[in-house]
Amino acid sequence: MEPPKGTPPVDSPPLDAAPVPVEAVLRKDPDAPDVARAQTGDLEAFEALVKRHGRRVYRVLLGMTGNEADAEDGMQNTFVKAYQHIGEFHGDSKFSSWLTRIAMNEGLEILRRRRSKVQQSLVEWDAEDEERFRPRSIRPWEEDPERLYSRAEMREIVEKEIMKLPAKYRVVVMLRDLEQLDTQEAAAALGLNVATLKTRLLRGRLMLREALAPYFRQKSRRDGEAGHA
Amino acid sequence: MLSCKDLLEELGNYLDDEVGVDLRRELEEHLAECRPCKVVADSARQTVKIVTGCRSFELPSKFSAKIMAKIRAAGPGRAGSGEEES
Repeated sequence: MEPPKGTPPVDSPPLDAAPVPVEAVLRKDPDAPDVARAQTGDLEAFEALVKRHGRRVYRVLLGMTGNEADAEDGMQNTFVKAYQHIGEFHGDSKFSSWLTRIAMNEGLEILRRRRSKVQQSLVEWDAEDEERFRPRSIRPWEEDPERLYSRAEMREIVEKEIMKLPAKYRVVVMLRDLEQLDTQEAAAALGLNVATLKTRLLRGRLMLREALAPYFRQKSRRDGEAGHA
Repeated sequence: MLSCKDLLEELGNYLDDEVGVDLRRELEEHLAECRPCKVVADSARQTVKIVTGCRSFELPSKFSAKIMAKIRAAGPGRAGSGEEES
């Protein structure tokens, strides 16, 4: 099932995704019972879907827009549209993938509305991935870097540095490493082919590694910052 | 033996445990010999572990109540009608 009409296309469909029989998707989709009830107008069932998938939708939108207020507005619009169009969902994909595509469209709409940044954001979103990323920081990290900071400090550091990533890398890192979707599912949700998803994920992780290195690398050594590969 | 460039190209698959036995052995042979690559691979793995474990970007409070209020305010559900409401 395609996302609701009136919303712009996200991207080309995954090029290497094999067609999956509808019955197989429905059998495997844990949301199917709540979706069926919500399709009859059952708001309680829909609220269960909101609670189950809210965090992913929020993270997609935060990843795309880089702005908490936009992400919260976009999340509300995403679920309103999903409810209004849930009758059009026939289980051709998992409900969570369908919902994520609506969130993606909402995120693109937000980027388009930001007139001052629209050129940069949309160009960046659609741009081909640049050539191979070259790691620069090659000083070893502490053995157990999570012990260097409190839980709250770690969260603050990670959130700050993730938000500095370009949107197309940030959203992939958020879906794969925060939401822990598998590669196929993240690619399907973002409308990317698997190869592009993997390229962006590695690039995003390596950029994040560079950003986190000053917090976690061993302090005693002074060698090894000349770059590599 | 694999080059550093080869290793970097396969690093994502290696971190996600999506490489075959033979390629894994070649990658690990390279890592055993190449300290800079070993540092990059180890710290990239630590990066993933840190991000996965820190539970960042949790939801705003009362998010579902706000969403459901907006849905109710929009009027009776159009579920199943297939029409655009807004």
